[in-house]
Amino acid sequence: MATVTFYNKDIEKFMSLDVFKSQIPELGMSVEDSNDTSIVVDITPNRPELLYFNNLIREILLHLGILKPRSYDSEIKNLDGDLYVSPEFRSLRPYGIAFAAKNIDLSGNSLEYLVNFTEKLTDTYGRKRKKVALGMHNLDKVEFPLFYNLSEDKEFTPLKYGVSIKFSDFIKEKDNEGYSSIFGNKDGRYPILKDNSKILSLVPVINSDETSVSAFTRNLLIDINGSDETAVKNTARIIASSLIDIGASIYPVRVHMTQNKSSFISIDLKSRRASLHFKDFNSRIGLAEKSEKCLDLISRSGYLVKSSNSTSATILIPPYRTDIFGKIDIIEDMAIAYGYNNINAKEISGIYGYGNLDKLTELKNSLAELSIGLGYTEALNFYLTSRQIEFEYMLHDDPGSVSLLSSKTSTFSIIRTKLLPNLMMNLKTSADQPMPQKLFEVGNVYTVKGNKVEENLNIAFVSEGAKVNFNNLKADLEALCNYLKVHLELKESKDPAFIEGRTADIYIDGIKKGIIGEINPEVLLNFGLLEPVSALELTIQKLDY
Amino acid sequence: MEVIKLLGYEYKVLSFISAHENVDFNEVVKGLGINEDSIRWAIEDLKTKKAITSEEGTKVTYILTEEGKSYLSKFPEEQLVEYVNSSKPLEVKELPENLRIGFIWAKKNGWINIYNGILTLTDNGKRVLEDGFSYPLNKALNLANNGSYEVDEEQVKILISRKLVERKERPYIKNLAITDLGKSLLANEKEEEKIGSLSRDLIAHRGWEGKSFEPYSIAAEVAPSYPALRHPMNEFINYIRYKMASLGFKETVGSIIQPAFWVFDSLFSPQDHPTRDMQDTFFLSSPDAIEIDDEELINRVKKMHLNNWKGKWDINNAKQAVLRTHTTAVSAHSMYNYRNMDFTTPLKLFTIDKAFRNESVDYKHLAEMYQLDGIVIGKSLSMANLIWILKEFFSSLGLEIRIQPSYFPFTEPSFEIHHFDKEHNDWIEMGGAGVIRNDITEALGLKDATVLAWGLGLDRMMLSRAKLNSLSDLYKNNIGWLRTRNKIEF
Repeated sequence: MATVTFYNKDIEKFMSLDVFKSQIPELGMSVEDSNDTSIVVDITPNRPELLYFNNLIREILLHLGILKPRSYDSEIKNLDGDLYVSPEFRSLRPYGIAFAAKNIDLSGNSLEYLVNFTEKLTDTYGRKRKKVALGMHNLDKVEFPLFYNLSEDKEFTPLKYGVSIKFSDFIKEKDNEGYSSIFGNKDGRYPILKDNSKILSLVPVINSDETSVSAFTRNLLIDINGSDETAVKNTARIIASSLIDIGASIYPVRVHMTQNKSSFISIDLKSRRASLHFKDFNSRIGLAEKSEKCLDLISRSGYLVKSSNSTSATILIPPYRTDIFGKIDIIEDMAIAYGYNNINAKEISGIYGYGNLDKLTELKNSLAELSIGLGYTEALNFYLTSRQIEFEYMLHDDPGSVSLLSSKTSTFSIIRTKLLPNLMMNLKTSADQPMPQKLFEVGNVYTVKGNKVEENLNIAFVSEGAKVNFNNLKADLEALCNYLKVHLELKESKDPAFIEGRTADIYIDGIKKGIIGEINPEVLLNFGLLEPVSALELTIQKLDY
Repeated sequence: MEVIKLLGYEYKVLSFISAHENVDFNEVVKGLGINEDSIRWAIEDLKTKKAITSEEGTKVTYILTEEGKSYLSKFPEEQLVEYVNSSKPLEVKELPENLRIGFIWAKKNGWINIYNGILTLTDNGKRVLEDGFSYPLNKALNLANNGSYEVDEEQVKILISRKLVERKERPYIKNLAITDLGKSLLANEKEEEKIGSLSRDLIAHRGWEGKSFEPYSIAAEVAPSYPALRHPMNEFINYIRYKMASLGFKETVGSIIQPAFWVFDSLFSPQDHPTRDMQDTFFLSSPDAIEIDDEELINRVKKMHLNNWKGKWDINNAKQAVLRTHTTAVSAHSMYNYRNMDFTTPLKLFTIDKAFRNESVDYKHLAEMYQLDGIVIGKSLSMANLIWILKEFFSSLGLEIRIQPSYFPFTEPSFEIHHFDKEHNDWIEMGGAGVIRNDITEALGLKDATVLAWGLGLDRMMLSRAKLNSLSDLYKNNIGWLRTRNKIEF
């Protein structure tokens, strides 16, 4: 979740707060908080460009039809300089580009919005700078050409740090987010961006103070680097179009790959074209809108219409849209412009037919009904449990459990292999309640055999109280087997969780399926229980989906 | 003259009083073994009939306070003496918190001395220890607890002043004696033979005829009965299941343990998506990977990723074993399983089961929760059709809904479902819905079919219906709640 704070006084330059607040959900986002000075909006993750104030305002004005879509291509100007990317740098960080943006006004809250935007953008879309990192510099302090390369551990003055410090020391002291470990260094040489004479940034950790940006900066240099070429390009297009909307012109640089002597121009803002048949829109959404209405929806979604006729249109996808994979995504935007709650429900023809529950559900329900008839109340436990409850308390060995790689809840480390341990915990929870206590559970249990999961449907009963014994449970088990029309046989057996001489394996139709007995007092104490407990658990069915 | 008759237990009570001179109420109760209330009524009635006389007295009883009960085995001053005796020279300030209370009393009793802040036992104190604690206060407290009348008045005063016991006076009936009228009544009347338990014999031989039944005290308290009940969450899940089945949906099931492929990749979620992080998803160490056996399917899904998300797609990431994060994984399987069907008649499927998220469990978060996932597969279905299905379903639950645009990687368009919550007087999000991306349906092998899908979390819905405050309370399985809870209105 990415939230952004917008100031009321800035919003009110464009629209009333009420309009703003009512438009946010219409666009698929939510107002998280609002007070006298600001509004916090949760920005939808597929629209990273809306993390920027101006872009969100642009989106709303487009949606309301107040603003018309524009082209950005014309604001790309001539080349401004060269960027050399060394092979060493590329071995750590494959892609790096830069461009200049001139004639910007960063006064008021503009700089704060822009800085927050670049930070949130590289945090979300850039996956905490792993996929994409970005730096903003004062262009007027930069001397071309630029170099992305590796450098010895040197001293420089990091942004807002005040004094000069070595890369390695700065990382130790200030890199709490661990940005320096994303792609590390190579033999003690650090990835940097420098110009003709000085270091501009320790990539992707921090910029240099010397070229820092202030509210008075008019011209910017943006450098973008990352692990994924598409993501780097998309980030450049998002930033450049955002800056153009606040008055900038964009000046690309020529990027030189120093290993193969190839070069390319760092950025373009050409719009991708798409052709759209209105019937595709109408059939997906369930409408019958004519071309005029469709063209209005296209325009209010921010797409420029290049040409159109009565059945289709050729449209331009703005350069900041990174989430448009195909026509269907454009159709969704048109539906949003239409207003979801304006779409009338339409009955599906041929929809009627009989439904049913799955056989497994029906089996579980009939087992539950029988158990309730026998006086057992149903428990419903978590699948996730701990080795302590599952094995230690029950004096059992781990038969091969499905294990979690990591868990935020410390008591969860495996998936249950049996139902009984949880039921014993339930008796512990219920210790202050009147006896006797009878609980059952019907549910799935899991083990791993040779890296393959075995899943079974089990049923378990526990019965606690001074007068409860093996024979009560045996009688209930016989009733269960009679109901299920299966042949029951008990064979005396041993199990550490049960009292010796009062334990038996349950054989159903000649196959060993479970265990019945009186719980070992050692186990009772493990669960803090002070009354005798008799219990049984058996497998009803092996599950294979 | 009106004939006075003896009713119910009156005969028994009057006989008892006649046989025992000047008995009190408690003795009658003990002697007859009948419940107190019935006897009280009988005595009152016999007095009205002037068959007996009695006197009203009061009886003093002592009731122990919670603190008093905790002193039954040892008073704090007794514990203190033991503690001082067993420890090395002890400074007053080192005294444990729980013994401070005893300090004043031990001092008052002359059991301890303080010199330069060091605590020692006096001779008296040592004697107390040797005597094995014949502390009069302790004795009095235990006597009071046993309801004895021989409690030393002086000691009781101290106990009361220390708020260890409370004095209660209770009215009580004593010196019950039979009158001449009573004697004549008794002589004239024989106890009527009444039927206690109805037996097989009495029924078969019509033996009850001409006799009356011993009446019961209807108001008497009875031991509670506890019904065996289903777990309320399962009741709720079944309720939703039946709603779905009656709308013509067929239930499907699937395992909670899946390769990431079915949870993420097949549903268009890119491999570097944040939800595929260990922070959000439970990855498994055993088993660590699960094979996907359809090579062609893998290739189609791989192509879908490379065409749209660009970058890399690694089959090994898709094989990683996870606990499914949503039941849409079951729907993805279903789409694949039914890929060769003809959908001229739409196919309607649903599943209700567990999904898992790597969360820290607290009152509003669970690591495993129940979800409903419903899909309709048909030819040229639209979003308007999906809205219709949702309205049908939610109106069957009595809920008014509204929709709002949203984003899920696997649906296009996507939206959230909100319902109007009367308690909060606001619209509350309760689920997501959308039309499955064509890229996905094609990759899963469906030809010329549209899939409408929606999902819904059930735990939170249950919480408000069960009037619970904490999600985890639903799964504590305290039998106290499970068998004494009220019927829940869904």
